[in-house]
Amino acid sequence: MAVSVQKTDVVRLDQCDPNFIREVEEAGGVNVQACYQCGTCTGGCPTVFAMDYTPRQIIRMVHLGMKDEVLSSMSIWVCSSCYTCQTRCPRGVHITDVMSALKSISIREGRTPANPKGPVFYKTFVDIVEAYGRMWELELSLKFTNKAEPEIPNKLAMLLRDAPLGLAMFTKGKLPLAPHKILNIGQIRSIYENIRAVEGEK
Amino acid sequence: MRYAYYPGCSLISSAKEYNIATKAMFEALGMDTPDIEDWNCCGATAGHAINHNLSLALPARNLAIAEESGAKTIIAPCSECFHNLATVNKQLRENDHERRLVNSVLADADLEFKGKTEVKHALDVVANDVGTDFLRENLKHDLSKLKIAPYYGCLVVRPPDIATFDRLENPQTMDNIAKALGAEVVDYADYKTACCGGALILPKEDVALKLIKNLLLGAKRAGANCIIVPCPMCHMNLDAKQQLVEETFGISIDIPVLYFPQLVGLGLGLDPATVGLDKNITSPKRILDLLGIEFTGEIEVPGVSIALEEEGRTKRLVFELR
Repeated sequence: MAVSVQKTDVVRLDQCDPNFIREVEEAGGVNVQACYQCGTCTGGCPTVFAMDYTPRQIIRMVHLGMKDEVLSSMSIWVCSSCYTCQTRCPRGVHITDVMSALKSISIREGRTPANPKGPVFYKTFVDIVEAYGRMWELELSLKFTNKAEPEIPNKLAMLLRDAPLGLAMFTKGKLPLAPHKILNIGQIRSIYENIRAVEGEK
Repeated sequence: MRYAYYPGCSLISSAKEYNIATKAMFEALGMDTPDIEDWNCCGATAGHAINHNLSLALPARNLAIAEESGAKTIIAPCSECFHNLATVNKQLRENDHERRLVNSVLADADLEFKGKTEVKHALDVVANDVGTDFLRENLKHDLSKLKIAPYYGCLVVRPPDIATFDRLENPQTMDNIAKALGAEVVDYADYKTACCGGALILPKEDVALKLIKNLLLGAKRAGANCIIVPCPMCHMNLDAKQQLVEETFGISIDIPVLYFPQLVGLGLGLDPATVGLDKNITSPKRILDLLGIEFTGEIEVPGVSIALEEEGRTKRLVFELR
């Protein structure tokens, strides 16, 4: 019987990256190779309705080395890190950690993300922590809105929409206008610098 | 010194009432819980998404400082902080390669991770170290008019190798605390460990709002008049974003969301302002009236509406103060 296969369904192994699985493990994705494709992860995932590939598919694509497809997927930016999949996985695959590893590889390589707001949020967050040693939510929300909404009318609309909540939080003393910088900020700077040096050696 | 307290970044700003209530609760329980000196951010979910080694090193600095102070147990009230501190504590104890790497990163700060402390969530400390019997014996104010939906969220029960103090799929610690205080606990098993979207509320708001809507409607349907939570991210989503959920989906919720130490504090006879109830966004006045507790120190928030009005080609901003 002739089987017709749609071109988009074909996995081109010559375009796959056999080192990708190793890369994912090094970035924190423990046990990714142990997956036997049961789909328990997908069954329990609370955000799968907004994903283009299910968590099970993402893991299989990592096995096959489909790096470009995985890193340009929406799925990795829709994962909320709730650990339901990792908790229920009968094979001990650290699926949530795999998702985090995929985010970090995508950001490190400067890939074009399916949800540009993802990298903007995470990068802005760790930059603020590098500057003060702690989060400063006012700077995070303003910088995030500014970078995540490139169009000026959208920026304004978001700021206006969130202004009443911001005012309520400010009135209740929950929105400090200055950061709580830690005393030994030099220690945080040296941690960031040393991490950069470690990553540079790879 | 036995305990060291790690507030975390949310608790000194958007979750200030959680900090106030937790400290007031521990004081009322006669516990000494000094802050970890000059603590830093644990990296939250962003640390993991940027760099694995950074997500190890940021919590490790706090662990090393706490160890040096002689603390035996670190208390983290924030589920994300608890998750990060406990994960790194376990991982660096078990993985020699990662411990050496992190200690080399910390060396310039003159700090070393030795793995001599344990990390506990504040909920674990109250449920298991203090115990519900103690709460029952010291109950000052009857809370039997409250119908509580206990929302646990993700990281106090998952993953199972880190969050070990409660049941995975149908946790009981907050249920038991609420019952010990005389409150009724509604059947919320379908939602108590479902995800609220966490930090996705910023980079993927539409997805997070759907999840929050389900949790809030689930509590309403179960007949709850109050939700309790053990996490500032859950609280941000269920309390502060409640109005946005109502507007987005055209529904009415209006249910107060309390941090569990606020509930414990009320039961122990502390007044609303002492447990920071003046700082919750969705007003808890309704349940305080129900309990016959006078809402001292309620903060008036100036009502403001800001809208962009369009008239043909002209656009103007309209501010309205009430």
